[in-house]
Amino acid sequence: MVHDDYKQMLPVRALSALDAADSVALNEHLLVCAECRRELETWEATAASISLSVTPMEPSATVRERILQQIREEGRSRAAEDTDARVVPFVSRSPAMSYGLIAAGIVCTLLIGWIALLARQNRIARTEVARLTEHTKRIEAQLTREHEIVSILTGPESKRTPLSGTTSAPGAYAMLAYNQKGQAVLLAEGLPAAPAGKGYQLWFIIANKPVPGQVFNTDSSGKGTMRDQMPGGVDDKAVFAITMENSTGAQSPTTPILLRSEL
Amino acid sequence: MQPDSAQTADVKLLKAVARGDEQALAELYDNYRVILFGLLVRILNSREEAEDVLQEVFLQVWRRARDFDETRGKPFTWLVTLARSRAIDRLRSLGARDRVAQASTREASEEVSDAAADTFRSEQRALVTSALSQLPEEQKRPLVLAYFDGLTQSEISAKLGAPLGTVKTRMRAGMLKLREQLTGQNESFGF
Repeated sequence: MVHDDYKQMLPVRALSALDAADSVALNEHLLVCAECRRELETWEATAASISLSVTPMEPSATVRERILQQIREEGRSRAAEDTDARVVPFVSRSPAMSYGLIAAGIVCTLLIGWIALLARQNRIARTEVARLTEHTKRIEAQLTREHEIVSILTGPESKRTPLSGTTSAPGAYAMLAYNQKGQAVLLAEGLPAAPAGKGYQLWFIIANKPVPGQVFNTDSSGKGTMRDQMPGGVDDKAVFAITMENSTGAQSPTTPILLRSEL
Repeated sequence: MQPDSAQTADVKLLKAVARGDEQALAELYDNYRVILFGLLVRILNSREEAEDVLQEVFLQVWRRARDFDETRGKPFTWLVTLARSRAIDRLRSLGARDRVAQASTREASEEVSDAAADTFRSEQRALVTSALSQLPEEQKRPLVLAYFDGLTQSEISAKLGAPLGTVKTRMRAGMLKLREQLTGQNESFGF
């Protein structure tokens, strides 16, 4: 509906004869339309004039008395309530005191807001510190691991054994380094990433018996690094080999050897 | 619909009532009791109910006089609107089922009555009655049913057996014509 539609309703609204839906719609319009509110006032005056067409009648005299009696009773009740209100132990405040209380209220509100802001910033800072701490630990662990790898690879007492690709993986190459503590590192390259559920497993062939090592995989460039612990009994005659097995590893080779050390 | 001096006096009385002046309320009651009581009897068709509502109206005036805004209307309009609204509410609470059926009965019984108030109010009554009588019956009837019986447009449509759109048109036309008739008088009566 538009403004003119509501204006059409005003005379009937003054008679309180609008149906509910129209009445609700007009009420909403009146909230925002001063022009219609003013016009409704004139229509209400016109409607009120209809009352003058009615025969004036005298009510009984007791009505006047009942009205006055009731307002006196209300007055007494109100006075009693006022008295009760005064009994409530609130100290009467001077204007200066009231302003002071208002100012104190404002300060308290600001203080509470400031504290809440600080608490929030504190929570954020703590979360960030925890995240950085965790990140630092991870970096430290990685550095330690890489330091150990470097140590194994370059230690003066370390042994390094190359592994060459067989006819099944002619372009592959690896080197196994290990120290006296039996800590071993395998560096491999030229091996395509293993299919899902598969991995490359290192074998320690000691006295012609394969001892299973760890399973590793390579990245998209065909390179992979793995740390392992040398089993007992490894000597200069031991052979190292790599096969493709299930990613959980196997107890003995199930596929052809891809890389192996020289005898 | 009163002289300016009377309107001004009533405004002062309402302001005094708002301040808790019991005597002012008594004077206001004396000024309006016959007009309002006549209206209430016309709507409720019962002296007993009308006296009950009249009491409620003046108690409401006592409690709400501070809500009266002289820039938005005259005391006469405010009091009549208050009284009519209370009466229609009472009428609806007494029994909506019979309200439409009773409407025509009350209408017939009241239209034969005569004025018995002072000369001034008799003149006002004559002017309004004349203005209403100049309305075509098809326009006057819906206004009377709405004003005195509290019927809505849909109820009037059902009662008269006229399409709702027709009732809306006739009611608006009736109110426009009534205002035109009263406008000249409004100037002289401070309406």
